[in-house]
Amino acid sequence: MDFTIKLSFIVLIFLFAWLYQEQNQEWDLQRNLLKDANNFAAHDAALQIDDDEKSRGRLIIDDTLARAVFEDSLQRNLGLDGSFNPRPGSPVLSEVRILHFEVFDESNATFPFFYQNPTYRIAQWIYGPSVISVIETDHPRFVYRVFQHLPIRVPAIQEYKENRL
Amino acid sequence: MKETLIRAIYMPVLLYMILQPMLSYLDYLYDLVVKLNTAYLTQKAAVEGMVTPQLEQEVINNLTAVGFSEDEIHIESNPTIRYRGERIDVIVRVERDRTLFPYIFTNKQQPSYYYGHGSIISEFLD
Repeated sequence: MDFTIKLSFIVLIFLFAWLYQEQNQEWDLQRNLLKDANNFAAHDAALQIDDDEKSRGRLIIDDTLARAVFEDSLQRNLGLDGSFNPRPGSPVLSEVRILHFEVFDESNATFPFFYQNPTYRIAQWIYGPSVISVIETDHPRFVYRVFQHLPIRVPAIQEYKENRL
Repeated sequence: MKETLIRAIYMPVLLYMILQPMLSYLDYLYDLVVKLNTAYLTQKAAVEGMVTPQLEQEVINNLTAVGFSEDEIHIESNPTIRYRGERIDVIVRVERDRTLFPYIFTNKQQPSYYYGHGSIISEFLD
C-alpha cells in the first residue's frame, strides 16, 4: 500500500513535469513561428516603395499598401483568417494581434537616428527607411490555473541600409 | 506476491516516465530544426528570386547533419524565378517515422511529417 501511494505521487509529479515540458516546447515553437512570420511580413511591407517618389530620388514606403501587405503576409505565413484567428490546420494555437506597426522613411525621419520604444522595450539605431512591427499571441496553456503566463510578443525591424561594399 | 504484481504493473509506467521526456524533446528539436531551415530557405529565396539548387542542397545538408536521410526530405517551391514584388512560397516536408508514445493510447493519427512553410515577396531584380 505504501509503495502504491509513493508511486502514485511520483506519477502525479511526472504528469505535471511532462505537461510543463510540452508547454515550454510549444511556447518555443510558437515563438519561432511568430518571429519568422513577423520578419517576413515586415520584409514584404518594406518592399512597398512608392515608385513616383523613387523616380525623384526619394525612398518612401507607401504606408497604406505596406500595412495591407504586412497583414496579408502574416495571414499567409501563419494560416490565419481575416480577423487573425487560426484557420483549421494552422500551426498557431490562438489569435494573433498586431500591437504596433510603424513606418520610417525619408518623409518622416532623418537617418540615422536612435529609435526607442519603451512600451515594447525596443532600442536600436535605424540607418534607413524601415518598417517596425510588434505582434503577439497567447501563451500555450497545457497546465491550467497554476501560473499566469505573459503572451508571446515578438518585434521585427526591417530596414534599408546603405551598401558599403 | 501482491507487491510483486503491483511492481510488475507499474514497470511500464516507469519506463514510459523515463523515456517520454527524452523522445518528446527529440521530436520537438526535429520539428524546430525543420521550421528554422524553412525560414532560412525562404529568406534566401527572396534574394535569389527562387529556391536555387545550391540553396536546396544547403538545407538538405543541414537536415541530414541532424539525422534525417536525403530521401525523407521534400522541398517544394516555385519552379521559375519570381521577380521583385511577386510572392514565393517555400514548403519543407520531412517524413516523421519516429513514434511518439501518447499516440499509441489515443485514436488520433500521429502527424506523418515535420512541416515548414514560408511565404515571402521576392526582392530579385534582373
